[in-house]
Amino acid sequence: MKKTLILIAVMNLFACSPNDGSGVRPAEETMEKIFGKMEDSGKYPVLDRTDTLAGIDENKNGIRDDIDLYISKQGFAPEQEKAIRQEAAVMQRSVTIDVKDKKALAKLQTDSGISMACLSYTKFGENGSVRGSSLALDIESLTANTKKRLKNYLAYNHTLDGSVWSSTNYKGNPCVK
Amino acid sequence: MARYGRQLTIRVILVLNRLTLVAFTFFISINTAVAAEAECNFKGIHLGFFNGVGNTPKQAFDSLEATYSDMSLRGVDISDKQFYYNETKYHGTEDIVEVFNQRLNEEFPPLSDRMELFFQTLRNGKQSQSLSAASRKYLEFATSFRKYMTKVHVNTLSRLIGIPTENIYKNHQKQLDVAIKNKQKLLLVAHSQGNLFVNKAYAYAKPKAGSAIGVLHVAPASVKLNGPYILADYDLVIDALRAFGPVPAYTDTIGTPPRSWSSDLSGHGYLDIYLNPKSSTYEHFNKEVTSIFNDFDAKCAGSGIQGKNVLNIAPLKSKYPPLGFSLNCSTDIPCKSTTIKMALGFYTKELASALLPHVQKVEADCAEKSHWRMVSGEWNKATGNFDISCGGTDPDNALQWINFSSISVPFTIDNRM
Repeated sequence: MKKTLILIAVMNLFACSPNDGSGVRPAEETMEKIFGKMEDSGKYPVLDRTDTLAGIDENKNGIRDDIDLYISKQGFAPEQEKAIRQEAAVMQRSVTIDVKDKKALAKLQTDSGISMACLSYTKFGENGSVRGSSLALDIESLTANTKKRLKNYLAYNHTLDGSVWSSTNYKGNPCVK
Repeated sequence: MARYGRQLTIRVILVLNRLTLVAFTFFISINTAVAAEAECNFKGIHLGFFNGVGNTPKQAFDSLEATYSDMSLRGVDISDKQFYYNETKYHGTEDIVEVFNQRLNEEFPPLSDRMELFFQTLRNGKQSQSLSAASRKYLEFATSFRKYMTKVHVNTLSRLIGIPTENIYKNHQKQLDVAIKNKQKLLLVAHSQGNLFVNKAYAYAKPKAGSAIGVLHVAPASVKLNGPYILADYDLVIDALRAFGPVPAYTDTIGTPPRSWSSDLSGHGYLDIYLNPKSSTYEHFNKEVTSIFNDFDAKCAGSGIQGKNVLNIAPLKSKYPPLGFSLNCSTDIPCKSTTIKMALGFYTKELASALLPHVQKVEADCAEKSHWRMVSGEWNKATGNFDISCGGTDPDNALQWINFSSISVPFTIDNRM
């Protein structure tokens, strides 16, 4: 019995040691491989990384195709998906906007307030347990996904410094019909 | 006869005295009501949120929504919510993007243009969490970058203190004016650098809003405070600011938050730390919000002026039910004390409506008997009820004061706006 216990202990010792016997942890897979696997399995979205601000939007619905696909895979109910798409379209405009165009800036800020209000209005999760506005942050990071897009988006945010936003200015259902 | 004449004179004097007293009290009450109206006649609560360091507008919006949801769950009726955005000016926003991009390139050359990881890493978003679980190297990278950003935030905040940002203040002031014009009470919540802006907002709005303004400072980056504050001992950003100048002492001991409930390494996050239900700061936050609302109510409760601050009288079967009345609190007596003064109302529907516009219910009109119909009452400290009587001169004997009806009613004042 005693010998058996010692044997198990020794086997465990080997099991916990690096398999090359060098005392060094096994090399981690490259990030490229990790990303590849995650993208293949759908754990990480395959994003458009073309060199333009707009990227590819073949169906011309105002949302980049990769973001469109990502949204459709999230398992949202139709009303929820509609609200997320409204926000995604606003985010797409936010990364592509010409920050010198004051008229466009004003319109975008208004629409951004409406889309955020729509997210707040729409119930997500069990009994509305998920704050809709928190879902915008996911879309925000995935849309501003290249240096060019991120910088333009931050430049747009800069124009909003000092602005005041509300989600109660929109009476009733603020979501686009 | 002479004896009867003397008695009549005495009765006349007594009645006149009583009427004079009643009239005097009434006009005093009207004056008090007008003063109280200025102080208490509000139409809801304006919740203003002043965001912290490093927030995008969407993050600030989300923080406002979280604050609103929390207050709504606790029965606070917010009629209007806004966030007052202030952008964090690093040494140039682009610099942070470049720093992140360079680090990503050094650590993971093939990933250098995966800039979705910028926000994901900063906020420990869904994709960042997946990567951290799959790669220790990425986890170390993300941890290191968040620590770096904590230092950047400290540096940014230390530069902000004392630097005026007039155009931002002016934009904020415009919105505050709208809320004040709409007769809303102002509840202003600020996080981190937002405290520097909320102090300016408070200084601007206070003279106009009077007592109808309350500020709650969360993780204040300023030693100047205009209301209660919450500061966690683990808030490394504010703690590091001590090297640059005084900051308030911490109010909550949370220690190092376990990874199970927060991955916020800075201990400074508004949602990750301060509004996290697993942190003691969460209960503290709600306690302070309640306290601010109680302060609002204490100043106005019993005024009978606010829509819901109405004494509800049970339906009366009496022919002459008590009608118009309003409740007034004097400025030197706290409204929740044992002294609440009962004002008087003329006993006709028209007069009550015209002179006491705050009377919510005028259920009957018994003016056909006499125009000297009045309601008086006082709060009975022993029973907690209002003893109300409807009285006036006897229709058949103008010199006789009679109580037509009286009732003792339990009352509740709905302090919520």
